[in-house]
Amino acid sequence: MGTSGGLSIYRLGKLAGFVALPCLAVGLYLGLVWAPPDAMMGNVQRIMYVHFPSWIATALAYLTAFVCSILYLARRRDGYDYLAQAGVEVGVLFNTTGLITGSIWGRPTWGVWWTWDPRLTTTAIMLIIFVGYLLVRAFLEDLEARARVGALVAIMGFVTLPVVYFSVRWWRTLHQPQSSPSTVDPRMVVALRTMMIAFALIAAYLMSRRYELARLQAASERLEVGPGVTDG
Amino acid sequence: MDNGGFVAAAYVVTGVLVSLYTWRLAGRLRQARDVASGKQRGA
Repeated sequence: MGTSGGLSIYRLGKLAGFVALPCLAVGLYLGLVWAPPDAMMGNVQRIMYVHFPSWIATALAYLTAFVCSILYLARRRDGYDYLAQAGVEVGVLFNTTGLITGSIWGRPTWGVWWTWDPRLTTTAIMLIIFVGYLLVRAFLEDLEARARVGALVAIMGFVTLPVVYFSVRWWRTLHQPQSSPSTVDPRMVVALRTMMIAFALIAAYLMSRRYELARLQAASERLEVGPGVTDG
Repeated sequence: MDNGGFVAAAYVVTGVLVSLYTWRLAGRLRQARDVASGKQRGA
């Protein structure tokens, strides 16, 4: 993943950004206007069209960080580390929006903003681990140590993702289990899928920008250290 | 039971957070490009 890799990721990100905007506009119309309200919850169920896509974007970003962290440890190519950083930061953003929208949805349906339910608790733990990744990186000065330790934290953090996913099946929880598209109105499925695609494209766009930032920051730091000076 | 305020809050919070991050990222990227080009000229 050299300069050409950087350029292609940047261009792909730009393309994702261009496609994301109309997709988001259509998704918002479908979710807020076209799709019918839920028979039980009414209009408050429309929160699903931002809540669930936030988790799709989170999973995509954390999966990118996980795969790139493994690849970095195996091959020691800086590009993988830059993409892992991008995945974690964008993942933290959508993890946060997922938790906040879930909390807003929880208040009218469960009567509380927050409860120590297995799904909510495991999701919060996942967020804390990935925020820890960002903090660890901020405190380590050595470029290689930063990448190595970061990769280990990202791999450890990603292990929580299947726990989050299966938490609604493994434990008794307030949070509903995964729905099947066959049990809901087809218009809801179309609206949700459109928003999922839009959020995934936005996450891809943001990761491409964050990748470029990491690449530039590393290049600047190397210039500061100077050629010929090694980390030992 | 309408709860339109909760729906609006969820969409607004998501929009604001993603927009703020995008805007901040663009600023950091611009600054990093300036620093990188400045350092390359100085090196």
